[in-house]
Amino acid sequence: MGLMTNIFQTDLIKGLSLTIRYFFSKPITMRYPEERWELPPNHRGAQILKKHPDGKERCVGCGLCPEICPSDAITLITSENEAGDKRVDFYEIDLGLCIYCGYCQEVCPVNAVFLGQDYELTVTDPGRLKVGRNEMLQKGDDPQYDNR
Amino acid sequence: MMVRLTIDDKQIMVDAHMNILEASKKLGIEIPTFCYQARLSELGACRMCVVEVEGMGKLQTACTLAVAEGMVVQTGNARIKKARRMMLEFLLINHPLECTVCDASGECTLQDFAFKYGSAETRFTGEKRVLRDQIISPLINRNLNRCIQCKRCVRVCDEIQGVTALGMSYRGADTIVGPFMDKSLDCEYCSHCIWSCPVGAITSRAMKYRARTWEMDKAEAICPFCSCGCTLHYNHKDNVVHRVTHTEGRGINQGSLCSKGYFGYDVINHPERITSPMVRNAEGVLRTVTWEAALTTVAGKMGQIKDDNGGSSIGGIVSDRLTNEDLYLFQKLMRSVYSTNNVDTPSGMWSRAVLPVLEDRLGVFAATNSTDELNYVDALLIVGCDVTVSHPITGLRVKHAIHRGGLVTEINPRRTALSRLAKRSLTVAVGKELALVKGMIAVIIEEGLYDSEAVKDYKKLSDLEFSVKEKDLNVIARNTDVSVDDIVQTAREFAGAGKAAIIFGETAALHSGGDLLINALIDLLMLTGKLGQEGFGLYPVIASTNFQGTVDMGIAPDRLPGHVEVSSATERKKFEKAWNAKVPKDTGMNALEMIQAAADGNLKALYLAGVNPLATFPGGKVVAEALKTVEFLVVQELFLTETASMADVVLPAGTLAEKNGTLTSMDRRIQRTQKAIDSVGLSRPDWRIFSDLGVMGGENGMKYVNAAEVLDEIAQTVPFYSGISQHILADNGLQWPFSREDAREKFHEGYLGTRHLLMDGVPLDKRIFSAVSGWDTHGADSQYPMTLVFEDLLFHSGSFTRYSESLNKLASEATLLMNPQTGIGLDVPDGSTVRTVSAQGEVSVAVSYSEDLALGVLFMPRHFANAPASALMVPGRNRDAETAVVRVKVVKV
Repeated sequence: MGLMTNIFQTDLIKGLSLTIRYFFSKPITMRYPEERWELPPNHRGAQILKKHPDGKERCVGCGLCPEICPSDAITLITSENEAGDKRVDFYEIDLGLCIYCGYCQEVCPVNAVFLGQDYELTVTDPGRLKVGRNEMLQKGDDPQYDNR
Repeated sequence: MMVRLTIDDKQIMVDAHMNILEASKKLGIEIPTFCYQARLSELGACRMCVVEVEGMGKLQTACTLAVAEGMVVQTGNARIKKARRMMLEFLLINHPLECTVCDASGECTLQDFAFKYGSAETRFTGEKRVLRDQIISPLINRNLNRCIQCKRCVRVCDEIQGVTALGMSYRGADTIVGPFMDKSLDCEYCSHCIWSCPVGAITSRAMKYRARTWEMDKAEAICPFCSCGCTLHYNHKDNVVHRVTHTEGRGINQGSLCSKGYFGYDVINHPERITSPMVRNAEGVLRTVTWEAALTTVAGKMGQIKDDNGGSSIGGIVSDRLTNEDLYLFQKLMRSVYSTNNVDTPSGMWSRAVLPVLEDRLGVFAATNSTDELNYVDALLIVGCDVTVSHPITGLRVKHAIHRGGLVTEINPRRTALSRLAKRSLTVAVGKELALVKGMIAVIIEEGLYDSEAVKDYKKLSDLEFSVKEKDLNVIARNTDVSVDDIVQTAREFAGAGKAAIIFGETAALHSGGDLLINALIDLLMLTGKLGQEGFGLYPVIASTNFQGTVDMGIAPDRLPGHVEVSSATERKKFEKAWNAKVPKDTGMNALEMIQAAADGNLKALYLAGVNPLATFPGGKVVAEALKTVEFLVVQELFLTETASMADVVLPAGTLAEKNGTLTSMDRRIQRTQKAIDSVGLSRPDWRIFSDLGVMGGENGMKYVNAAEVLDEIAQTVPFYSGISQHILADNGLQWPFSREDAREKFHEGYLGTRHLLMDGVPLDKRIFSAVSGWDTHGADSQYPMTLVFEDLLFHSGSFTRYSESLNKLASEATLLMNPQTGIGLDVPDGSTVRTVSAQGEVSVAVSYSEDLALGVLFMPRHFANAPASALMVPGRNRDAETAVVRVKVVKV
């Protein structure tokens, strides 16, 4: 038995036939980055900030998201603007700390912050994991990150 | 009288004066209310506290209904719940639901009650009332849309602060709260309205939108601005203090603060704070260095000067705003390491003027009674100060006494905020107060109003009688410009009152004949027997936060900790044993002598911890020369002040919010203050710097791990602080002298120490009247005919608050106040600049006319850079004490 397989190399043929079969069949894996996942609408990716239809920011700086954040990833600094209204001076989420629990989206009283569709969060510089307000607002405008 | 009633099936015996709300609170039953506050009058406006009383058909408001025998009360049945739910629904018709940005959110009573008692839905869907949102002052923000018309702010402003700056206008649903004619707010900025508002209708602009209430941590500390010793809470987030709060019923202030305490916190995180040590390099420029380098420079140079010229060529002046621990270590550093008794503090001028008199006459060296006893005095004499300005919380006590019907007489060169409320306000020129007090004594002796039982074993009564009868009452009245009737009435009221006390301040004590006046005041107290009991006594008041601490910790050239004399060999030996170092025996130089010696080149090194002599010390030119001449100048400061920018080494220190420690208030209460935030930048607490310098100077006994260790050493070396510890001070302050055992065992039961001194009366050997001669303590000077009084301001204290942006919005420039009658000969219009000239120097400042002042008296704040008081104050003239009052002339520019 062993002699025969050695002579005719049947294992090789078996293996090659499998290879050839799969070579011509439809691939199972996704061809990242040419192909991407179709994400469910409630996927919890990196946060985005939404605006009102007139372009005004929705966020009022109420401070509930930094308060509820279990991993203390959100920093918010507010002050009074010239008109006497509340102004958000600084808003930043550290995605390295974020556990994508969605509490910030849940607690937001004005529907400003959402967990978006962005899951490509690998960076070479850890500092870039801190995402600022402008970046989140841009993502909010981009349907790529918000298919709601 | 006690009555028995039943609340929610529970029986309770309470005082008949109590209302149902308070009685329920005793039982632990919460009745919601918006408009009721224990300190204020009852109003019954909010209808939230409705309860059902058996036999009364309609629901009753618990806050306005007094308890009665056999009452049966229900506080939470279905009918009441429905009524409360409807009340909340009515309130929310117009209340904007902007909790997301409202600063009160998180501690808003309406929010809490709506959550607890309200319903989630509303049946009213119409438009909400929108009123114009107008900012009414630079520091206080009003949002009328949020107002629920509970009238707490209006009542607190009237009943507690006595200012009546706020009122209600219009009617029904249109009712709004605001200042007169809805103009901008002109008041004392005491913050009571902010604190009392149950919603976010009145809020602080200083913290507006900077932090949410729930984000901030609180640390209990003592207010750094005056010697009242108020307890406050620094609210901080991310190492920044965002606001100050206070708790009803806590501390000396019992839930009140003043403008300085409430708004002055922004100096803590001021961007101009010095954040790292600096040393002047070879080119003469201050350069940032490491702590090691800076401390090595100081220790090395100080050691070298000590070796070359001896310890007496080193001097140190320390601020009276530092903690007891800081002060103790400063004098220990100076005495044991640098071998010098040249230790002083700016308020040493006050101590040297007042304490010898108190010690000589009464055997005490502090205020005899507690400030809260002033709440219940029947007669009060306020001489030469404005307590509502220098000590606003003590001022509230006086206002409370007036509210209760206390007869307050003010003897001051100007009318003050109290004048409107006080029984009598006598505007008397500086120096004439003595004549007035002697006139009162004359009336009391004449009419036999004195306490004959108390006076029995006093000596020299006849001398006193003789001294006061030199002048006729009519002559006194004419000289002082006060009517005879006022003198007689004041004397009768004071002698006849059940409880009577005297407060005197800087204007009275710090002029050339101040000691005579203090002696006469003590005579008055002795004569009427108003010493040694609750509600009696003498209160010397000075604004410096911890001036009593400087006295107790031996910050004086002739005193060691415990206020014992340096010249005493046994006391020195005691400290030498405790410190394991030699204590120099010669009396040192006081602050003014040190400055003079530095200018003459005799003092080689000067260590200034938290003081700014260029701005506050008498003799502007001499001080500048001294700081220039002195070989080595170390300044330990918060800001790069005028003085600090001349230093060879600048060491960054910490504010009270950044360190643990204890402070002693003016009524001898030792209180604990706690660290709220980490040190700003590389700055360090003062005690740590002194400790490090001590160790570097070769004194290993100066090594301390924390401030508590320093306090333990104080407890061992200062007799009347014996047994004190951070632990004992956790709940309450403790007034010295206290019993060590009681303090240890009863501190959590509210043991407060000694509430008033002289409980056994005046010591037997001191029962002598002084019978001072003389009538005018200030005298006249033809060259400088007018008297300038440096005043405290309600919105500023010392040079420290000049850095507070909030307080600068309220007052930031000095003006010269003058009676228009005084200014007749000058012929200058209101607001124009005049030159004020004293023997020392001159300042140019805008004049402002006010009829509140006595003739020939001028007032100027001492705090501002545009009119430095130091330029006018005359060092060494008469006594070094003449720093509150200066003789000047005013010249038209």
